[in-house]
Formats: sequence, C-alpha cells, structure tokens
Amino acid sequence: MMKLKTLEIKALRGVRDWEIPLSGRSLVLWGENASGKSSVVDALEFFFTGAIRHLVGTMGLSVVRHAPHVELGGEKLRVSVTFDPGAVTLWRSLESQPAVPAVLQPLWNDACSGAFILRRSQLLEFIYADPADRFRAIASMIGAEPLDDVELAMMRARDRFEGERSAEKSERERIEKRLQEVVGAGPSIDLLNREVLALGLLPLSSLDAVPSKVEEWLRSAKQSDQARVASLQKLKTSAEQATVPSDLEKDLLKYADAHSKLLAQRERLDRLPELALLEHGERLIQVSGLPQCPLCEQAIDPQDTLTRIRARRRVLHALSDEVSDLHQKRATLLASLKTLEQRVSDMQEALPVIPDKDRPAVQKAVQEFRSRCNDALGAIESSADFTSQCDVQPLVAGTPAYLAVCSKLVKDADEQQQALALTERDRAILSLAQKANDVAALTRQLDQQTTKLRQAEELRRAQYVFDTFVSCAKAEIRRVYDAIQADVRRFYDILHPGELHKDFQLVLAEGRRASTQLRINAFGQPDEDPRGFTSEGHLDSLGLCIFLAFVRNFRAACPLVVLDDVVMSIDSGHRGRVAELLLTEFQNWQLIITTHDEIWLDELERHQRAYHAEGRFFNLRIHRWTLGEGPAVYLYKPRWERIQSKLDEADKTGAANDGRQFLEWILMEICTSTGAHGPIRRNGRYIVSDLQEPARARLGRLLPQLRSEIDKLFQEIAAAGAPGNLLSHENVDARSISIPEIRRFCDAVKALADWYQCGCCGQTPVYSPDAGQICCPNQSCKSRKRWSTA
Amino acid sequence: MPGGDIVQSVTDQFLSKLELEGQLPSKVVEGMKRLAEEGALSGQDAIEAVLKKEPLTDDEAKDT
Repeated sequence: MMKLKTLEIKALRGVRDWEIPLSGRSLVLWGENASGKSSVVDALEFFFTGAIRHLVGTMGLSVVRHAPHVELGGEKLRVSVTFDPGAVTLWRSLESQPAVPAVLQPLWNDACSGAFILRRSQLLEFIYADPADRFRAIASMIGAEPLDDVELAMMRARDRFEGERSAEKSERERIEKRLQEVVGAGPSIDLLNREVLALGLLPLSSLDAVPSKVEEWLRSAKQSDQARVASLQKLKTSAEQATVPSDLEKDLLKYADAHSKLLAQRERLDRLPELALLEHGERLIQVSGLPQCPLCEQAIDPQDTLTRIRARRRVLHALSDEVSDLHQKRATLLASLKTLEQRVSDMQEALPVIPDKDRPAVQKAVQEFRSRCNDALGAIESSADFTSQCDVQPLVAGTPAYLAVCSKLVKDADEQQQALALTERDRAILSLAQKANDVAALTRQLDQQTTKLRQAEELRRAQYVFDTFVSCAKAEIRRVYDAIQADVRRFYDILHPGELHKDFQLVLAEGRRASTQLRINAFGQPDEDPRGFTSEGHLDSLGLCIFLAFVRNFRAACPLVVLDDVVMSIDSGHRGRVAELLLTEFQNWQLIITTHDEIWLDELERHQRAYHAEGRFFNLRIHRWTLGEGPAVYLYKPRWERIQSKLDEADKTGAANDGRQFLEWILMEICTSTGAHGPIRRNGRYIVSDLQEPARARLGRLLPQLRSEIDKLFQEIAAAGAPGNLLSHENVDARSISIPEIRRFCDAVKALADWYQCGCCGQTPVYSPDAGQICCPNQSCKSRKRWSTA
Repeated sequence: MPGGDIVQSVTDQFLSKLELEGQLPSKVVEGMKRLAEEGALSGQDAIEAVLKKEPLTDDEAKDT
C-alpha cells in the first residue's frame, strides 16, 4: 500500500525548510500553540488539493498571499512528497502542480478533495450543521455532489412543465366557469333541450347540430325583425363576454413590475447562460484539482475559485428561478389577453347593428381598445428578451372607458330589442339561439383544452424521471449510510463503552431533498437528536467516529488520515480510548496527528507500546519556533526518560515539575481505574494532595494482602515529596534542594508507577468488581498484570 | 468500499430502471443515456429537450 516516505516543506506558513523522514510511519507531532505543527497539516493539504481550507472562503485571505513564509515569499514555496514503494517523488508549488503517474492515480483521486483531513473546528461544525449542510459535507466526502446537481436539474425541468400545465388548467377552469354561467351546472345538451322543449321546438341531438337547429328556430320567430333582433342579441352577448376579467389589470401591472425589476438586473441576466459553464468548471476543478483556470490556463487557487463559483451559482440560480416564475406568469397573461382580444374582435363583428349616428364613435373606441390589447400582447411577448420595458399601461389606462362602452352597448341592445316589440316567445327563441351558439363554442374550446391537458406528457415524463432518479440516489446513499453506521457504532462503543448512548444512525430525511439527520438512542429513548442529550465532548467524539468511518470506507485508496488537534474537548480518560481506537482500527493507515496536549501525547505513546506499534510511529516534539528558524524539533521521549535527562542536566526545576506531574498522573490513573473516592473539583483539575490519600486507601482496601507494600511505596513518596512541592511552586527554600533529593522523589514516583502499571504492556490495570480483580485491560498483552481483590 | 463510484452506480441504476420499467418512449430513454454519457444530466435545458423529444404515438395518446 502506498505511503508517505518523506515530506519536505519549503517556505510554507511557519516552516522555512523541513524534511520529515516518515518512512511509511505515522507521525505524532506535539507542539505549543503557534509552534508550526499545523503548518505540516497545511502542507499536506496544499500538496494534495492545491488549497488550504482555512485560507479560503474568507474575504482578504488567499493561499497565494498567505500560504508562503512571510520572509521567503511565494516563489520559494514548495511541498514535496516521496511515496513508497517505488520512491516516487512529486511536488507542488504555487505555479506548478504534481505530475501524478498512473501508479499513484487511485491514491491521488481519493486524496485530492482533502477529505482525509479533520481539523478541530470541523468536528462541531458537522454535528451542528443543518441537515442540508450536513448532507453536502457527506456528499463531498463520498463523492456524491454531482447527484445533487442532477436532482436539481430534473426537479427544475419538472417544475417548468408543471408551470405550463398549470396555465392550461387555469384556462380550462375559466372556460368551465363561463359555460356554467351561460347554461348552468350539468350536461349542456340536456339543459339546452329543456328550454327547447319548453318552447315547443325540435330538440338538439348533439351540440354539433346547433348551427342548423338555430337556423330552424329563428325561422319560426317573427320573420320581419328576425335578423335585426338576432343581431342585437349577438351584440348584447358579445359585449357581455368582451368585458375585461377582474384580475387582469392587477396581474398585468404585477407582471410589468416584476419584469422591470429583473430588467434592472440586465447585466446579471446576460450572465445566466454562464450557469452551465460554472457547473462544468466546478466539476472540472473538483476532479482535476488543477491550480489553473480551465478556460484561460491562468494560475488559480482551486479552493478559492470553487468557493467563488458556488457563490455565483447560488446567485444565478436564484435569478433563474425568478425568470422561470415570470415566464410562467407571461404564459398565463398571454392566454388571457388572446382570449380577450378574440372576444373584442367578435364584438366588433356585431357592431353594424348600432344606429349610424352612434356607430363611428363606438367602433373607434372598441378598435382603440383592441389596438391597446394587441400592443400589450406584443409587449408581453417581446418581454421575454428583456430588451426593453414591458409597457402595459396604455391597456390598463384605456380599460375603464372601454368597460363603459361595453356596458352601454348591452343596455342599448336590450332597449332596442324591447322596442322591436317582439313577443315573449320570439325573444325566448332568440335568446335560446344565442345561448346554444355560445354553449357550442365554449364546449369546443373546452374539448380543445381538455385534449391539451391530457397530452401533458412531458410533465408525466419529467415527474417519472425525477422520481426514478431520486429513488435510485436515495437507495444508494441509504446503502452507504447503513454500511457507515456499523463502523460509527463500533468506534463509538470503543470510545464510550457501556454508556447510555447507542444505535447511532444517519437518516436520509424522507420527503426532503438533500438532507441528513443524526439520530441516537439516548438513555433508552430511541431516535433522538444527539445534540439534545450528550456533552460537547461526546459530540466531538461522535464527529470523530463519523469522520473515521467515512474515511475508512471511502478513502481506502489513500491510507492517510490527518487529525489536527481533534481531542481538545474530550476528557483525559476518553483520550486513551481514542488512542486505542486508532491503534486497533487503523493499523495499516498512516496517521498524521498533531496536538498541543501532553497527556494525549503520552497516551498515544503508551498505547503504541501497549499494542507493540512503536516501530510504526514517529513521535516528535516541537520545543521552539522562531520566524528565522521555523520549528525546532526533537524526538519524543517517554516521560521517565525526560525526567532522567533533566536530572542529568541538573535541571532541578524541570525535573521536579515533571516528577510532580508524573505523580499527579499516576495517582489519577489509580483513582480512576479503581473507583477511588476523593474530593470533587468542578474544574476537573486535581493536585497531589487531592489524590494521594484516596488512592492509597482504595488500594489498601482492595488489596489487603499487599497493604504493607502499598504503604511503603506511599510513605517513600511522602518522605521524598518536598522537592516536588517546593520547586514546582517557586519557593525560595528550593535553592537548597539538591539533585539527589529530587532524584529520590522521582524514583519514588517511578516505583509506584512501575508497581501499579502492567509490566508487559504499560497499560493501567482496571478494577472489575464482578471479576473480583484488578487486571491489565489490554487483551493483546502477553503477560497481563492481575491481582485478586478482597 | 460500500460506495465505489457512487455517481456512476446511481446513474447505472437509474438508466436500467428507466429501461426495465418501460414507462418512457425508447427515444427518451436513449436520450437520457446519451446525456449520462456526455456528463450532461445536470443540464435542465438538455433534460427538457430529451423529455420533449418524441411526440405521443396514437396508442400513447389513447392511454393518456
């Protein structure tokens, strides 16, 4: 399996020139804050991705400006990695990227997204993210981001067809309503025939027979005035129908206003076609990780460019939604205006019946309104281009006068009909003839619209394609989640054995697009949000488990895991378990772990010994950092070797301090592992005097057969304890303390630690009341320390 | 590895489901396959064009 042989960093962040000889081993790097340890993480991220996450996405920060060492500049920045086996060396600078050979391509494909790096800040970000952002984070980790883009495009296509169908549906409803107004609710032919029979006329066999029947009926009406009465009736009906629908003026003004607002953003509208380009560009940069623009080949910061592309896509998508919405409104308005224009035209045909003296003025008014209607139609049709304002004002302004004309025509026609002194029956026949004509025309329109609706095949196809794709994507992602869950649960059990949080689940929210929720069984209550029931430390460790599970399942071709200061909010007891998790579940991985926590460093070192993994780790301490030199490192030494070195160098304060910390640590281990009772400190920080007596008393009670041995060990610590107290508290009497006195104190602490810890693997034995023993917990230990308890 | 290339896997399942269920005219299915090959399944216009591709046959019109 490919691993990192060497990592060489030049002129990046706080590092001037540093070659780390990894030889395929994992690296544990300890250093105080601002000692340059995160520069190693930055270097690895830059090498594999061309970006540094915390230098992108924030205004004013960029890799080009802020990744180079401040004194050396960007030209000298270079990160080189030699891989083994094969000793292949690749390097990246600001100007050039690695030329990845085929043998490294699988590793590179998995690593180039940077998803193998976990920083402390990302842990809670993930847990506290809203379900959509969490889905995006997971999608990025498992390479499923393009699925969301496809789903979105399919959804938009479906919505577009749905918009068209909705406009057609409204038109159908309008016709149905009109038909009901004319003839009433029910089968039209039956309703008409009821009136026909009441007048003693021959009934209609179908609506197709209306023209011939109407002619027949009119012949039976009063011959002399038949034509004029029919014309007046036609005028009256057409004038009634040609009125402007009540909402039309309001809808026209709303549309013009929305159009005007979009027109004001004309420059951005012109950029809508860039959406496809941005989508392709984003994918290209993601896949290739090239630090070059795919169009002009200028050097770019890929992460920064991706962030900016996504921001632009969001803006353009929002604009695209507004344009789609306007297109739908335009289709509806055009349909309504065309209908109105047709009715005005029908009314014009009926105008000749008006007396000569009145006719020119009415014709002029109606024609003017029809012209305004046509102008508005033209304006709305051409408004799709967003080249000029959509002016509907003349039509809106002319509507009141037109409505007054229509109203007068209806009234005059009615009065003139009365004046012709037709019989009631004649009038009824004329009215029936008009009604039958209207019903026949409306029924034809209704049939046409119904056929259109039935043929809304595109919408059916779009819905089916969308549903099919979503179900395939959800099933696949659910399969991934199921596989991940088993690992997350196992990892979490290693970190929190026997605790009342279990059955972790990643849930793909039903009925919501691209959304993932976290669920856990907390204190016996299933399906709870872990944020409601667990501490920040537990949430951190849950985040860590999820990350490690995803990495192990999805980044197998890149056996590299980087953990940058990730155990800060996890308490010391659980940190040991994190070390156990990494040592047992990630044996074949190359881990890069940075920390400024010495306890965690010691835990890792202790677990390396416990799991016989010393040869697989390279433990380094950064003891100093300067701008001129960068990090100064030395190999990690176990605690006792550090104390010995300080004693040899006559570093009294240093040795006494370390000795006292060593004592605090072993006492805490004894108290924790045996369940000793001591005082409660709210800050969780215990000192020697809090722990010494509880530890001695507890051991004495559990191991009465060893009481004299235990007392002797504690008495020696008490007798030699003065240097630890005096020197670590800057006491003036400390000057008189000699090195042999400090050595005696440290030896006494070491004797207690050696007596209690497992001699084979160095693990701290744990008291088990059920088994009635204190025993080394390491199952793989070849000779586990074991005492029977009272 | 539970996911493999998840995008490819979902796309393959999607296309074979379209084909197996036979709910769409063959030209539309072919169009979808072509879009997948060209990596253009995330293009709304391209999808709309494919969905509109084939007018209804007489039989389909009757069914609807």
